[in-house]
Amino acid sequence: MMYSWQHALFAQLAAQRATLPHALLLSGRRGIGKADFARHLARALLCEAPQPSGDACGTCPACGWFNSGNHPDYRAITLSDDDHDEEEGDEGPKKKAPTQIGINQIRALTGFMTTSTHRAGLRVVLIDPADALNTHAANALLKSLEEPLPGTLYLLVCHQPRRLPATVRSRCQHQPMPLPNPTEAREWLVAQGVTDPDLFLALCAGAPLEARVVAAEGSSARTVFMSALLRTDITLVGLSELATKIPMVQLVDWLQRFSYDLMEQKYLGQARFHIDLAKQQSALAAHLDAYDLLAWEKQLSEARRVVNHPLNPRLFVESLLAPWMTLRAAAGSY
Amino acid sequence: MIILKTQREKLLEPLQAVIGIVERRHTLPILSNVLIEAQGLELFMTATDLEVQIRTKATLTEAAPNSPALTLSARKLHDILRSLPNESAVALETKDNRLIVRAGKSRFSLQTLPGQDFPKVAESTDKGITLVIAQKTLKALLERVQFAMAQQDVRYYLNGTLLSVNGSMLTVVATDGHRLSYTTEAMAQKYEKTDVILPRKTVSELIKLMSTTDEPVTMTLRPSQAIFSFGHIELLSKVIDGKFPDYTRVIPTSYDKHLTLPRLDLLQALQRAAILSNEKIRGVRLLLTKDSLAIVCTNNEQEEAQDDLDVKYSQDPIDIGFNIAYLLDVLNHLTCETVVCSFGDANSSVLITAPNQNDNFKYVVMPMRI
Repeated sequence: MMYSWQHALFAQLAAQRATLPHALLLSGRRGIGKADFARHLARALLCEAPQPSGDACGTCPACGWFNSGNHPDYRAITLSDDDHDEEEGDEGPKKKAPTQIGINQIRALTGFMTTSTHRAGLRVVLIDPADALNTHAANALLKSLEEPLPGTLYLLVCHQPRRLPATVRSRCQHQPMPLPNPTEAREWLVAQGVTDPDLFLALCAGAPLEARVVAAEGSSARTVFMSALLRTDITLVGLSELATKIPMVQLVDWLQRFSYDLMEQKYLGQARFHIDLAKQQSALAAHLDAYDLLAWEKQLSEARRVVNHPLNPRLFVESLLAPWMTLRAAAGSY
Repeated sequence: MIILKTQREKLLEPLQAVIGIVERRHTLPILSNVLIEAQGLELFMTATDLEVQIRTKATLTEAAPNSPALTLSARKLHDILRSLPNESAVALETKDNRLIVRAGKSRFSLQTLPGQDFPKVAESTDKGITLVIAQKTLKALLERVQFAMAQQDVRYYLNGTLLSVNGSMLTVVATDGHRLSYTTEAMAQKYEKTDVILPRKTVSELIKLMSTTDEPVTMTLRPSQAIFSFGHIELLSKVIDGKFPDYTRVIPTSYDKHLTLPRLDLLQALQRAAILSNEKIRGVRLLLTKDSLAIVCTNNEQEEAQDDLDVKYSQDPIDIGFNIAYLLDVLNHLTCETVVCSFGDANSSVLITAPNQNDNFKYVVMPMRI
């Protein structure tokens, strides 16, 4: 599946069909449809009777296999906890969601990469998200990423190319993915049945796919938490109580955007993310101390790095919220 | 809707030929299935592991009137058929995407997937050569070299066996970088020069499926594909996309120290000595002096095994070390009475040949310092 804002890029890549590089690094913001685009591209390139536009025909056997997940010349590598299966084996309590791509997944490609192709066409490997490759996996990939056999295409999808090892990055042709312009994104969201597209787009910084997910979940949890955050009569304990119920990544995200909003309100008089709170924020922002606000913002972006493995979640949350309580108290009752 | 009725054996035999490559755990779910197609009196079964595709043909006693291609779990069908009594009549029916197997009073209902979902290998259109050779000859050629193939080596082109046709000579070579086995066969006709590297799995399947008869096997070798048809079986294999190292430079030609000895005597002496060889290094020392060969193994616990053989040898003495597993491998796979070991010096390889066989067999083992 491809989105309207990606047509131009697709046409450009499809035109290069014969001269594509051996590895494409597709990067861009979370929630703009990179992975869907990569799959669409893979399907089009594997199709045995492509349309004049370069698109897949949808009727040849290759397209059929691709759609049923059986195409023999296509491998998709994604997050998996395969690496641990053999060691642990037991059916313990539910494991955490996998966060890495392990070396065994890359090693399993060797046979696929070194024998001739099944359908005499391209062989395509999709790695999504490439920034989840752990060090060993990335190193295992290097050799074949550097000199793959003719007729091989690697598609690496990632949010932050900087987080890939330089050795991997330098072996790929970098292709930034387009962000839709606000009108386009709003139209798409409306077509998807989202009722308040502007708010959700703002919350997700313009990434429509993420906005759709957030809209489907509803924003009541956020509204409750954010209004509590703005209240003067709440205690740190009460606020932390609320905050620990929210997924940690989500919480830090909201707080970061919240602090950014306050900064922008203070100096530019506008909000970017939590636009539904704009009024309260602007009243408050003028009375906040800029240095303390900046310090809090800095603390939040540092917290962002360790958000996946806090030692004690409760303490972690409280340490993030305490500076805000001081800030808020200093500003008085606005 | 009834697809076909036949005897159990008619279904089981072709299925057994393809079941070897159906793996239990797979990335693609459909690969655990076998594709069944019937055309008139002929029944085709196809299985693949994406490296090898095997297709078998069976003749039915009763024509199959309406036969959509379908796929179903190979292992389950195999287990069902195997557990049925001999010569029982089996009927296959389709009903709402399920396959019903009926035999006597047994009834099994199996899940199916449509036949067009099965990833058949596209037959390559590249020009290739076609050779015809007796099954037992090809089987013997492969058996004599296959044990020297590398296993999951990063030099991926070593994880297979080279079939090389040059003029009227068919050469089969396998190596893992420490030892190399080489054998040739003269063909009746001349062909264009062609090299293909068959993956490990293909070689073992071929050896398993081919019979030791004079029945012919037709080989079609193409740059990206190799096809072997014999009996009712057609085996289509991908090839390893790489360049095999230049093996002619590895095979020594100028060695002057030769030692002829009975294969079994040497094998048994080595097997005895191997008991006390170091389990990690597997080293063995060969001390060759006038009319005597001493085989010495030591291990970490300072234990020692020595086995002396009386041989005919009158050239310079030599003291050389090897990995004993490589020597045992070749002696186990040969069938001849005597073998000839040729040495250069203590730092060069040993060449093992079988003098009374006309297949030009050569086996090279690199020495190791002990």
